[in-house]
Amino acid sequence: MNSKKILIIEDDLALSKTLKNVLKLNNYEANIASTGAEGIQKAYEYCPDLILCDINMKPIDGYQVYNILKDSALTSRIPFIFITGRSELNDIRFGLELGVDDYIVKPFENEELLKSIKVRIEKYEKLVNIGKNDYNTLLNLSPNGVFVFDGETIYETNKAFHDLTGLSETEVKKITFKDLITNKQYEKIEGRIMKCSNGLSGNFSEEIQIKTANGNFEKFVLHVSPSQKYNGFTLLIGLLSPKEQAGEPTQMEYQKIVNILEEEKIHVSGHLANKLHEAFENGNGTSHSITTTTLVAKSVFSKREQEVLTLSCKGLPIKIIADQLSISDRTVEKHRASLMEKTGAKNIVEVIIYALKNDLVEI
Amino acid sequence: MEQSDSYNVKQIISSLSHELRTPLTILSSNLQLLKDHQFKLEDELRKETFQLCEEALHSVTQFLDDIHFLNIANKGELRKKSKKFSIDHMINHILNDHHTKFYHSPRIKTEIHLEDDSFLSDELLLSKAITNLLDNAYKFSGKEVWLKLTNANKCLTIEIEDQGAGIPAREMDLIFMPFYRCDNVKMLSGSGLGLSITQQAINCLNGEIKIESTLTKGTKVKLKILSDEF
Repeated sequence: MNSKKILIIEDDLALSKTLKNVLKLNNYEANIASTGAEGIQKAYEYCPDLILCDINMKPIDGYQVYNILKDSALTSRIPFIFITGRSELNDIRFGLELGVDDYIVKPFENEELLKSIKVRIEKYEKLVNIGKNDYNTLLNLSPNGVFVFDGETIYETNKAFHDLTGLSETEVKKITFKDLITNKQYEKIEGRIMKCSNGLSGNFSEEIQIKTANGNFEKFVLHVSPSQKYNGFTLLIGLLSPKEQAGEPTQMEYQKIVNILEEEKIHVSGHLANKLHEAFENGNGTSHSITTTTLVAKSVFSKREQEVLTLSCKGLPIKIIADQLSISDRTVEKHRASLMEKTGAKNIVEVIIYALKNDLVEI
Repeated sequence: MEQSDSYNVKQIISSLSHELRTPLTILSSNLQLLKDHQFKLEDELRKETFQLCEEALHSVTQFLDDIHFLNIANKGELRKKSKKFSIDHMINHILNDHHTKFYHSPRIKTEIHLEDDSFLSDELLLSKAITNLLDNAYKFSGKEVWLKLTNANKCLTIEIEDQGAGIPAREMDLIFMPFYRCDNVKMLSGSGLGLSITQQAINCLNGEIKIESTLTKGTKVKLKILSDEF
């Protein structure tokens, strides 16, 4: 079994060494960052399964580290435990209000620390697994071929991908992305794929020809977008949609959702997956009910909420939204909370999906 | 004065909490580790565990000693015990104290010109002052630290010069206050007692301390002590 990775952000070297030894003897892998800034950097590079962080550090303290990591899709879901000398109730309450997973006060029992770490990691894994299941269900409903690759090797595919290419899972494992298309086609996009996997550019689309199940070359639109980092390189998500269908609103909508889901690494609850399923199953037949919902929803949201929603759908972080609307971060959060309440969503991504599905925003 | 008093109380509490809690945590955590594994740790790890315990103990003891020293000094009960000693011997002793941060660092450069190696004063108090100043110079810079000594006409001059962070001009009047830490170096760990101790020690020796500093360029501290034979 792979040992779990823990990042220790602590400015006292003797304490971080001690923590590292305790963790190593309990079969964890540990990495030390001695300042807040180093901690933030390592959280991205090292991709830990959990972060232990001191609060009282200068110039960047533990609260700031937490807030910065929480703002990024790549790091926001890593369980976070504060280690601190501050024992005042108010401080603990402040940390928990921020959404920190746990609080350990110095000096502590090693047992207590290890137990907290174990519980947080297990809880996190459970969430990730639930997310994976729902995400896979959703992905396999897509009429578009979706595949995860690193520019060459293809790691994961959905059902539609196999249907389109006529390749079985075993066959896909034997080929690289290049084998899917002709050399000439590959040359056309090679540079952009490299840029994407080096993190130098965002997503791109290109019309390409692919040999399909019936042996003919057919035109597809290929969308490629960078996804999670894994062991230092960026995984890419490819989406193949048949050319003649590419313009259809349902396809576009579905694509947006896939993109957002990937970016936010969010788990979609079963209920929402069902709702999405229905929406796509019925296709154009639902247009009437969508209009009704739209009218209701549009009148329910305030003007500001609508603005926050539109910017959120563009994937902008809270800070940028606050800047653009000249309001505080806190106010943006308040509007988001109210949007969630009104749409019955559990988080902002569900709100975004709801909004996209019901045509509440134009991206 | 009132303002600095309340600043002091806050600083004392925060310093006490940090200076004591952290080493206590290190001690407690490492002792549990030894206990849980009945000392059956790999040699290297067991050695490190004991070393971490010793260092933590030393840092608590040092902190309490420093507080005690300042307490005595504040009550005016600090007495100088003058005795003849070898300056060279004292400097060697300071540079070979393995508890200091600058222990055996190639960054420490010495330049010693002594007309007379023997000096009549309180060696312990003088050592304390020099050690604390070297500690600061070493901690707040990444380049060479110069320790220059001259002893002429029964007057010992000691200069400690670094090319480090420097002291902000507006904080120059506050640096001798116990627990005071300058804004530009707050990210580096420290109790904020070093310069208070140095000042008290030098005062007790009837010596003189002068500090010149330029932000981001470095700090130069000059001590002048007259021999008690004088």
